[in-house]
Amino acid sequence: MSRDAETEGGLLGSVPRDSFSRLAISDGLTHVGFVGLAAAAIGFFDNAADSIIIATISSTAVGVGIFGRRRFVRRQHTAAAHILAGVASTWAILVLVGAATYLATGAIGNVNAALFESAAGFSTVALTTVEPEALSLPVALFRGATQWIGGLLGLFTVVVALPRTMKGRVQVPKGVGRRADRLVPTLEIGGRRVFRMYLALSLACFIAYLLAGMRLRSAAIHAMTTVSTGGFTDTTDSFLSAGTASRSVATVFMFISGISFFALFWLVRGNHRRFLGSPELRIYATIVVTITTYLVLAVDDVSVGDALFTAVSASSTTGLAVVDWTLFSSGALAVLLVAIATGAMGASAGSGLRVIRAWLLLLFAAREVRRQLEPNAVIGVKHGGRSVGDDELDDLTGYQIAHFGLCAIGAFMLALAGTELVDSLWAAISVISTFGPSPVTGALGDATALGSVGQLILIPGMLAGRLTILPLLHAIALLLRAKAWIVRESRRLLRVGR
Amino acid sequence: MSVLRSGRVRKATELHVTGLRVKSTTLNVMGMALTAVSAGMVIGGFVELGSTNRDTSALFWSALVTFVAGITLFGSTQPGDVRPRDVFASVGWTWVIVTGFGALPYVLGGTFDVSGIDTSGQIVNAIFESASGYSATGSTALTDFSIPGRGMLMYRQITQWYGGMGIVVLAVAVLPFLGVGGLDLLTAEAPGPGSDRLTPRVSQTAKGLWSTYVLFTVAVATALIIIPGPSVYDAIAHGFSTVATGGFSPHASSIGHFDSVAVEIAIIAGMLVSGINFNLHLLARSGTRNAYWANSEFRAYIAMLVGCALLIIGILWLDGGFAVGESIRVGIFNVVALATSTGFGNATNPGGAGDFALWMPAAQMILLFLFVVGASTSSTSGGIKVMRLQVLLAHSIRSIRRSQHPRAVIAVKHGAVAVREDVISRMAGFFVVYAILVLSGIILLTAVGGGPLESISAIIGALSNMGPALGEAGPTGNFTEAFTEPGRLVLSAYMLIGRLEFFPILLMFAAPIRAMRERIL
Repeated sequence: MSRDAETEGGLLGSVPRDSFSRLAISDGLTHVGFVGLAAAAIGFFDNAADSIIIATISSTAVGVGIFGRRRFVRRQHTAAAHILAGVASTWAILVLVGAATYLATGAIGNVNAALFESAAGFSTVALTTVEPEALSLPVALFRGATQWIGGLLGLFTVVVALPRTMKGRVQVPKGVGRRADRLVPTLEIGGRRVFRMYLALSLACFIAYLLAGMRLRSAAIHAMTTVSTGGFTDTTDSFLSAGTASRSVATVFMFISGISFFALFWLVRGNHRRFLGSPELRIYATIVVTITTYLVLAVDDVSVGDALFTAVSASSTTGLAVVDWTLFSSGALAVLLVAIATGAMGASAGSGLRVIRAWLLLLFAAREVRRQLEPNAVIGVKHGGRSVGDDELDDLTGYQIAHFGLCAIGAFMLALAGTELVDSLWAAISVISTFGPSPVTGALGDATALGSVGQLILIPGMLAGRLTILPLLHAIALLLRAKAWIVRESRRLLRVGR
Repeated sequence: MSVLRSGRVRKATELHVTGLRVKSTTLNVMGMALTAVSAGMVIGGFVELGSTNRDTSALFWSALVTFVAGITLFGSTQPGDVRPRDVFASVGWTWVIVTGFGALPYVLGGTFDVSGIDTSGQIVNAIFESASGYSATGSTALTDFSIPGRGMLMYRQITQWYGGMGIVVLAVAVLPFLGVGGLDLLTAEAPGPGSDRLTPRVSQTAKGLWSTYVLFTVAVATALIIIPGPSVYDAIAHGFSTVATGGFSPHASSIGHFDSVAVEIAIIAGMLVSGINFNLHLLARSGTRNAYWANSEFRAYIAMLVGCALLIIGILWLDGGFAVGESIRVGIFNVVALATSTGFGNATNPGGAGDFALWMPAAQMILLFLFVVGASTSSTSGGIKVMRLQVLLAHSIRSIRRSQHPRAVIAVKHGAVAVREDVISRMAGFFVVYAILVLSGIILLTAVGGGPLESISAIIGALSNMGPALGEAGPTGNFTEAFTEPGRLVLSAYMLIGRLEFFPILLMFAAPIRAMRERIL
């Protein structure tokens, strides 16, 4: 504890302190602040009062963020535990800032719903407790921006921070990790590159929506929530009433957002062959095509375009809807749930189990079946032309067991709150995959159907889904450690008092 | 290369024909199993003697056909090599063939000949019932319990008894006399990840397990005879399905038919004991002190039962509006029945307190957890087993700890023993295969018209050899109404896959394919 306290430093120190967590929080606040200021400026003429409130909160966030950036430095070799703690605490602070904004503007009246709305934003989950069309422009833009920031935070975590620090363990298999050296030679360069690619993708999506005939406001919000795989819309019916061109733009950008940033980087560098040869990309595309075909065959009155949109939305874990898919047959719903649980490619803005992991698990299962026949044979698991080590597979299976466990706990908690069993399972898996909508909330993601308790239960699941399960577990460990410290200190004080 | 190829041909020839008898472990074991199964049909026929329905002749004719098929196979073959693929083929194909022959009495006796079910439906139901019996699952397609006679229902109970410990374990007791090592077969068949060498000879171990099984059956039946309520017939019938953790009952309302706390306590005791690793029973019988409590899995098994029971009792009492006594009674009974994958019900009528298909979602979620986990390794129950869960949880925690400390060397321990990495890998593989099977099963079942709740619970239930599911396939429902014919066939396959812990059924084609390839080459 004492060593941690020393290394983490304090706010009032005179020299820059070494604290990855506080630096990460400062960065997060700065980003949110600037985005919030932009939202306030754009929406000033629509609703001046809301804009001023957002501008005030955002300015404070920027101020604190800049102060923090000057105050704290990153240690040379940041330990994985500190990165996990930093990511989790950044997310928590951003959620609080978002909730404060909703409460201050009066967009949301109670704390639970505000926390949920903010968490859904920063974790890119397509659930909402508000009537999107009733939101003022600055609040709607801020709401969309929270998903954009959430997507960026997720990308920093899985593309930049964890693969480098954890040497490819768990989060991104080693093969991709080595490739990470090209995209992420250092944390700073990697972060910059990811930010630029993400920004470019968002701008391209924004322009495409405008060209497709979308209003400026909607184009801006949808661009931010499509590229981040967030799924928030400023209309109550998602994309149900959107034109064909807008739907096509959404389909394309949702699909792109589900692609690994490592692969996108190869494309940016002009290495098309490597990009197209990516086994994970092929599997991802195959999943989308398979689900589309299944939906076209199994569901009546669904066009190929709608089926493709739904399949891409599920696979990229975005959550936008062009049809009320909750009315599909049980079989189609089961297929969609599997797609949502599988999720997008590793190191993408999407979430879920990730295609690479699901594929490796299948290969691992096939190996274990073969081993039954030849118990003494040495059978390797190969992916993309390289052998995947046993320690990687070990971590992969161990991590996935924790992931399943988290889904089960989430579903149980929801069931305890009175949600039906199947709905609980659906909602937990959907939220942990950062998709959001489920039969209980409807395709449009109306979170009021979950109730206050249900909403609160799902917030940790959102964190685990967006930033992987590790930061959540680390946060729990920190809380337990903090609790132990409080108990110890209380006892000490009592002894002193006597 | 040519030398290798000619050697392979010679070996293949040697494997398949020696004199007048074909060398094939699979066919030999299958013949032995069919012969044993016919005995169960004969017993059912004798119980049915005197009745006016067609069950008597159905049972005797089926017994004759099965016996002739069995003895022919057994007589015309001799055991060959016991390589892993042969073991899997033997176990897998034996179970499939036994299920097929086991359906004969139901088809010939018209057990499912009710209005609204055509001939194909009757055959599907017969296969389903047979698979459910020989896999000791306990799901039923019976909609009218008054159609089958007492003999047919007793045969149905006996199928579970056979299925409980495994026909092949019986075969293993005989195989050594044929000069074939049986440990591989025992390992593949005895439920659980492995069978330790408890005695110097495999035959001795198999006999020990078998005699323990018989002893428990007699004990449960005797207890039920002594307790007022069940007839001798009922006592024996439930003795069979309790120790097998099967869950069939000659009554539509299962144990609820007796509406007796004493009966339920006796059944709970029987199920509890049957859910314990049989190797521990053998150890205890051999005089080892503290054989049970010293075992980490046993402690976890008891802790899981107590914890889940308390949770369910609490939920039923506080949230469900049940009386305290009623909550305790139905809570404990159903937790034990489902954790041991027996699947008995104690609802006295549809909609009664014991009908867990109507319980609160949180209570159902706990039951679903028990569906998945099951009881101890090397017991007669299904599921992924407590020991695997313990190791997998420890493995998962290690992975998370390693993510924070990537260079740390952390051992996974079960009790005080460090688990070998290859064993962890095998268990993780088992879990992943389980998850893949569950997902694919749910997709298949929902695609052919199953409801989501029914499909999820029935697939997990079938893989864990549970019996009842949730929704329409609950303890007072039946699978004919809940699932279409293709759905029931899918479930039949899943029951067999679950009974044999996946691999024998998944790999049963490996040996025939290899043999064909060797012949072609």
